[in-house]
Amino acid sequence: MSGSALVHVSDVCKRYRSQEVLTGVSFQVARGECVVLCGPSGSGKSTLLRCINGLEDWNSGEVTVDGVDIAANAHRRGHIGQLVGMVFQDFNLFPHLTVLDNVALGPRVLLKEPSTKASAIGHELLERVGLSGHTHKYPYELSGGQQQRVAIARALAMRPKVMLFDEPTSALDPEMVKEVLDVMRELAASGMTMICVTHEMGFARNVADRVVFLTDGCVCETGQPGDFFSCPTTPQAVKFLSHVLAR
Amino acid sequence: MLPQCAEAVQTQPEQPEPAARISVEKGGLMSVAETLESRVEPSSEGRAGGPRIPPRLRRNLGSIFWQGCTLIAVVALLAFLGHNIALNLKARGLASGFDFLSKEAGFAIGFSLIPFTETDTYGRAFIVGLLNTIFVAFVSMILATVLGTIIGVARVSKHPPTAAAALVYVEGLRNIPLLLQVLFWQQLLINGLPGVRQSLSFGGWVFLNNRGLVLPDVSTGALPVPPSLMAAIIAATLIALSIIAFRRAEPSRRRQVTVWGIGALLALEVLLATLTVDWSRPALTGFNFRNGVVLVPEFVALVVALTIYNAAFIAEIVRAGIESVNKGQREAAAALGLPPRLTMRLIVLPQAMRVVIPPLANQYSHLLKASSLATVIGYPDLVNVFLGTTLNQTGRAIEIVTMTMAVYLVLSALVAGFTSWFNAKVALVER
Ligand SMILES: Nc1ncnc2c1ncn2[C@@H]1O[C@H](COP(=O)(O)OP(=O)(O)OP(=O)(O)O)[C@@H](O)[C@H]1O
Ligand SMILES: [Mg+2]
Repeated sequence: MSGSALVHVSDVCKRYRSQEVLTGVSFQVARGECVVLCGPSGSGKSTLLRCINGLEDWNSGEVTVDGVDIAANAHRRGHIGQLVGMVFQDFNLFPHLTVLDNVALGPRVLLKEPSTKASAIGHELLERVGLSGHTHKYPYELSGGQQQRVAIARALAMRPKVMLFDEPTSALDPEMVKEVLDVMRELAASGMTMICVTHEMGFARNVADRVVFLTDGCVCETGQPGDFFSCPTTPQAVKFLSHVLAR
Repeated sequence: MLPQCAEAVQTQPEQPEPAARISVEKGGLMSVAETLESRVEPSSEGRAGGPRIPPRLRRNLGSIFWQGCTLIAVVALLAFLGHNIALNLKARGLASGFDFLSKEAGFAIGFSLIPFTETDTYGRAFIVGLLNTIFVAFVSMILATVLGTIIGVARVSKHPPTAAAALVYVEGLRNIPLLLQVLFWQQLLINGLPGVRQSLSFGGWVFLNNRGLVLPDVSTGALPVPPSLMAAIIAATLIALSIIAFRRAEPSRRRQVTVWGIGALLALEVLLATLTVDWSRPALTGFNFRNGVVLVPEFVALVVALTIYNAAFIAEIVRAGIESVNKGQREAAAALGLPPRLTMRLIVLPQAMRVVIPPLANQYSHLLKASSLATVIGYPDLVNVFLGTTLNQTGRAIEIVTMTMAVYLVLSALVAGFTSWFNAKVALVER
């Protein structure tokens, strides 16, 4: 195991009743690396992400983030929240709070920042995702792309070590996809460690340091984006790419 | 046919005629078109022949006519009834009118929030009953809401024994008639508790025995002027400062400012209270307590029964509210790092509010009306004092029944008004 790896996933197996969803997934993510996780629908991508931040428990195997055993600390939500940030497909902003409060909630309640400091953090992050003019709106007043950028800011407010993205652009209209991907690209450039489930192959090609390809609950192939897209080695990957790139 | 139909619908937008609706279900689109057509026809004739009346006004004239007819019919009916009542009363030599309110009542009331003796008037007895009704209903509403929320949250607990206990509570208590529960608690309090001398003591400040619940009394000694004047000035300043701070604060911080403002005022109150008010500890002397406020067993039984019974319903309302909140919200909160308890308090319950308030208003209205069960255990609420004793003694049935009904109407309307105002406030922030 290389000392610089931030996320270790080793041999994780997960069953829902009789159905094997993850059948021994292993991979590592180095500090500052941006990994794109892809694979056919139902291959277990979402489940894997949910295991990495302890939203889901699993049957065997181990996940550590920055040396912290996630399974052993799953009940310490506040602790994991500061290690792993997550962005969901359908945003899940808190509709009863303003945009600023959505972002400032974590720092104020969990990091115990005084509320002026928490607001300052909120303003700063919202500016970073290009939404400084919308701080006092409610989520329903924003477009999907804007909401997803707020969700990214909300996750960043906990100063996580790694950010997980589960199809962050799948629920968006095409013209809003770019604004979210731009924020993610900038985040990757700033050195954030990221694991992104996405069908945006342009993003995978240009931004990702590595692509991890999942089928039937295990890692089937992994490689540099250039290699993966130009000469995939496994037949499953060839098939998957022909489907995705044909769109 | 179809385009015509669409047109007809457009010209008749706000008159959902039941006949037309039924024919939609029965005969499909064709018959709707026919119905509408046949109704539109005469109006277009009228437009061609008679003076031009705008269609909207034409429709309004029709409805004004029918409303007028209804009103006249109702007034005529009431006048007829009123006339007969007056004749009948006169024939039997009975008096009518509200003059009895200023006459001496001649009976005592066992539990009263304002001083009342036998020489006071029926009018004052009415007020005593009204206050007793409001008091018992208000205390029960608050306790039932708190208990109901706790049980509703327990109902969705991940801890199976907790959820099961909450389920048993709800199913058990909401299926026993409230009247039985009221009688049960009354019997339990009177027969199940020790006598005065063996009172159960809670820290030496609160006592429970078969004559009721004894609480410490507050006696406000005459406030010396300087402190009270100072308090007024400080309070005014605090309020002014809070308002200024509220106006200036960013919207997201306003709630916090409000909390601080109210907190500061409360702190001031408590400080003044401890400085100037005497909390007199109840003390047993002979066969009774001195220096205490006694809540009679009937009051306690009624509050306990109303609270426990309504809490079962409120728990279901709260549970439905909690379950109405999108699962993604809990996940997002958990992913952010909020533990379950904080997630419930900061994320789920505020959103559940929107769904909870309208049925909660119903429940409050029910509780208010059910508080009239006071009569069966002898708690002197409005029905007991006014509709019971006062009616028996004066025989002014019509006046007394009308006044009592009016009170419940007004109180229910107040509850409904308050909850819908609150609902509008909560809903506004939502969508
Ligand atoms: N709560 C659950 N209960 C039972 N089975 C589940 C549950 N969640 C997921 N699964 C199953 O696990 C498998 C993997 O699901 P997962 O959501 O991880 O796939 P995915 O790779 O994210 O797919 P997609 O690209 O469609 O989002 C699926 O076959 C799904 O049916
Ligand atoms: Mg998925």
